[in-house]
Amino acid sequence: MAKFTGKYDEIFRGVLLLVLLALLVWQYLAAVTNVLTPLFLALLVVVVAFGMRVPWARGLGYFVAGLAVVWFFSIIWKLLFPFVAAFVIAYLLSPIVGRLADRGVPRGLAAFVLILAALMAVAAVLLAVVPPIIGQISKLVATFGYLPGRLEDGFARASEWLVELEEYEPSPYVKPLIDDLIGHAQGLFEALLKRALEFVTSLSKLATHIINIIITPIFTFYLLRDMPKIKRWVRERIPRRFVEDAVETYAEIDRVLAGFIRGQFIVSAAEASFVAVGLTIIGVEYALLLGIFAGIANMVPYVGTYIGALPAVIVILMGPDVMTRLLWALLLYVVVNIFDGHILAPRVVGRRVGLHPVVAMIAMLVGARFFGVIGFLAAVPVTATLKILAKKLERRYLEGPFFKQPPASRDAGGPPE
Amino acid sequence: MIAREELRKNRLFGEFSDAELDMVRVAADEGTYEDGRLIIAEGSPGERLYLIASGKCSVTTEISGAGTEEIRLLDEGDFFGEMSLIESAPVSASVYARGRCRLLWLERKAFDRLIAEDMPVANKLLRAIVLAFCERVRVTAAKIEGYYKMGKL
Repeated sequence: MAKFTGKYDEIFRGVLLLVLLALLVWQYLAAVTNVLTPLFLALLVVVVAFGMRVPWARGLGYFVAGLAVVWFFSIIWKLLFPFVAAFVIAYLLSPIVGRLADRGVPRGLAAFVLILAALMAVAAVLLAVVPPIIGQISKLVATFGYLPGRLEDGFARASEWLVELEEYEPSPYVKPLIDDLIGHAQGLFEALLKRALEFVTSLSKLATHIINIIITPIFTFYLLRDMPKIKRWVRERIPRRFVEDAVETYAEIDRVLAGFIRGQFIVSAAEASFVAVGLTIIGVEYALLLGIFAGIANMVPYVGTYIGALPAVIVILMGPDVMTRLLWALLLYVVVNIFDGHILAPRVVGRRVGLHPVVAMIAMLVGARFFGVIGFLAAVPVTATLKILAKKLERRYLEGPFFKQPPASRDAGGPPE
Repeated sequence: MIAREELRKNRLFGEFSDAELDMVRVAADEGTYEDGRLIIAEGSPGERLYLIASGKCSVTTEISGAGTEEIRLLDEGDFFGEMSLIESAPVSASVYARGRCRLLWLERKAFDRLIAEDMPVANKLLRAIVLAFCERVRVTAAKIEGYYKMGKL
């Protein structure tokens, strides 16, 4: 009997111990979750995997490490935005700093002055362009915001009119229809209000933006000043057997991108100013906004100018004096398109990046779908870069043994039938 | 990247193999200097070994009481700036671009790494520098001999 009690006692104690241990582990785990970040765990896995002598462990280690890198960047990519912006700006400005440096200006000074000038230019443009644009946008929003109210009035008047006409309550079939329409109009109005509120809350994110605005020029300065050193640093660390290829490929991408960016900037700026001035003369509202839109739309091959013309047509249709203004505006866009296609573009050679127009358009659609305006703007340069890389790979493949190896002759190698 | 042929034209790299030249190409920088531009200032800390890929450079020194004196005119294939890299001393003369020239250069770090990285490279590089030194000493000795004879007359 005593034996039994002792046994049950021990089992009971054992279970209790397990429960307590589980609780303890659970508590500890809860306490250390801050330390057990995915990054730390991934590091542990990698260390353990590379310590093992099993062939698949190493592969697993690489896989986990890759996953951790992807995870890390997916968490912090928003923090990287000012640095990416700084890289892009430094890339755009570095030829100018290089040329100044050739003339004996120290790189640091050249970079500083250039960034200062760029900041002042941006500030000047913002001061000149933003208030009118905000005015135009708010007017546009007001026009559309006014619309639901007018619709409601219209429906109300229509129902009154129906009442008067029929001299009795609107039929039970028509009444819900009218109510429904009024409800829709109200929904639309509420949605617009909600958007406006969202805009206000987004202002609170301004602080982050201000920090970015400060970080970006500073980082740009260091990148610009030390560009040759950075390039050499990278070059010296590329495996020796790839360095030739890598530098050549970089030079090729650099040539195409620099040409494209410079050329596109010139063409877009020209088109934007022509359209803005022309529309102002014709007397179309929102001329500045429409001009900028035309400049951006110009990036789309072939049909860009006409895409750029669409909002202008809509604006004219909503205003007075439709026929004359429409004719003049269409004439303006056609003239701008001819000027762009036959006079400007052939002189700005670098704008061509060797992409088929259809490919460029698809790339822009895809870019815009996934990354918005930035995706749209970056689509052509990125695609052109990918094309250069793909060409390199193709050449390597065509020159490689995998492609060139002749088919095994049948009488020599093949297994007997 | 800098072309192999361009480097091989320089007297520093005459004996270099293709693979050895590639090590230099990776480490070297390039740039153009307009006519009359100061490349190295006398008395400044020398941080680069320059190679002349094209054009001419004049080496000048300030002689107290006599003004600026051109010591040597360097031509395509010559190099300069090596003395202060090796002895870590301020530059002993100023160098100006004569006409537009294209220069290649090794920063101190790149030069040191090149020498530390590969024994044959270090050997050939230092040997070429010493050879140039010998030639310079011989020229100087001949000059002194000339002055000495002139003094005796």
